[in-house]
Amino acid sequence: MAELQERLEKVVLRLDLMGMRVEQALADALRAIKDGDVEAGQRVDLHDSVIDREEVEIEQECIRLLALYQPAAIDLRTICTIIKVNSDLERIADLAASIGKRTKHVVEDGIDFSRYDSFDSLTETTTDTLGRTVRTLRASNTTGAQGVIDSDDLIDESYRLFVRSVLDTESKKTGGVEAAMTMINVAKALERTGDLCTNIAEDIIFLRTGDIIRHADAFDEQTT
Amino acid sequence: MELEQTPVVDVTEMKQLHEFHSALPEQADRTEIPSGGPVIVSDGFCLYYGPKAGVRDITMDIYPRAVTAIIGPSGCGKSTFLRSINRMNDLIPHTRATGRLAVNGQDVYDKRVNLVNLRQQVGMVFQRPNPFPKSIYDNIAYGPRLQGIRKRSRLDEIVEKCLHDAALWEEAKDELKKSALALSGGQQQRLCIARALATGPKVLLMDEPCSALDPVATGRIEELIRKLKTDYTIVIVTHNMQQAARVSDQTAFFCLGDLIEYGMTRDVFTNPQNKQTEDYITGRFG
Repeated sequence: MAELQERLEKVVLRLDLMGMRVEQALADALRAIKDGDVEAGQRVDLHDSVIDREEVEIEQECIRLLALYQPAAIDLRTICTIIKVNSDLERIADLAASIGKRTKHVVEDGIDFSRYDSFDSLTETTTDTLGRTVRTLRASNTTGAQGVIDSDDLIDESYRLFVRSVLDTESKKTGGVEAAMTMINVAKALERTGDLCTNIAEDIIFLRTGDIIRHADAFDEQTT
Repeated sequence: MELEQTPVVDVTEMKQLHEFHSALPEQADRTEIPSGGPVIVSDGFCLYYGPKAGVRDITMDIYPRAVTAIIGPSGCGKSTFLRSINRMNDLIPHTRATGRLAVNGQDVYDKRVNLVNLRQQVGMVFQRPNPFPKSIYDNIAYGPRLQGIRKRSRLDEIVEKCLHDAALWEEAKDELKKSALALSGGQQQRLCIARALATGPKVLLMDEPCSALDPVATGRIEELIRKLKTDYTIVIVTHNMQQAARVSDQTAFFCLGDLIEYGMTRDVFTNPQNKQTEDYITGRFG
């Protein structure tokens, strides 16, 4: 096998591992916030620097591969996809870290997420979508990628429901605004995670087909 | 109450930037086949060396004002096809052509074709620069003289124009009487291009024109190719994938005498439709 393909295989494996780390980080952050485990939340935040370093190293290797081998076709699409997915995974890890950090406020303000069914629905849909994103990335599977894209609507809907019920409930309480802000920020991080999973799924479709499906509406408008 | 909006960007500057951007040349990689009909039409063309086929059933249209690259592993028939366009293969004994290969609507393998005229219409540049052991001036004037041009002022005009077109005028204008063999390799190759242009061809065939040149000389030839395509139909055979990707608008991939894939270069190099093409351009075989 050519050296480029060997090096590409290694970097693809590193990205897969990064995906698993990010999945774990989000799961840990959500467990911390639900259980009110401040230390576990801090651990997620501390672990984020490991993911940051990994992101930089993956990007550096991609730049080296572009410079040294001038790849084409599937090799070129693989490297472009890795660069973009790598960045999106790192941003999901940042969101997980931000949720982890908020555990402290959640405990201090006595926030209880368990009172909101819509929060469970939001966390379950988001973690399931992220898990499927990571598996789809590993299998480089367009059907799975389309499924991830479709899930984003569910996440958005869960987010809207949760925000509505938080506003309805917390606004009636004294000092409820701060608690509502914290809860909505956590939910917003999950909603953004869904968006980033969609980006990754779109990149997987590009990798397999060479088609950029992002913002297709904008191009349709231009041609009509 | 309507709020008065304070512009956050300098509109004049934005307009200037927009105008500057609009004035920039079109993106280098073509997205569609150039307008106008094809200059070269190959329809089921085969060329045999004795019983063995060098190329088989080649069907492709080559368009004007564009560079078409032919790529493929050694022995795939790319040079055979290129040399068929101006019948250079006739010099090899026992060659036989079937199918149709036409330049500007004229079947080049028609018995009535005048080979001298054909080769004036379809110029060729070879792998190694091969200037005649004559002066720079005489190298370029050689073809026009064969065409019967004798008037010195007309020849001067042709020599100057061709040297300009081949981006060699500035370097050679004061040394036109100097032997062409005294030029550097890159300059010699540009001289060969100037010589090919002197007979007023419509098509330029280039058979690995940079394989004997250093990267700087290669860069100048590639720049020249991009400039020349506004006036000429250029077909280039190259082993250098990056060169094909850089200079061509369309790319044809040949393998074992067959045309495997032919399309816009930007598509062939980013998303080839055929597995063999993909394996070749990514270095997995060939």
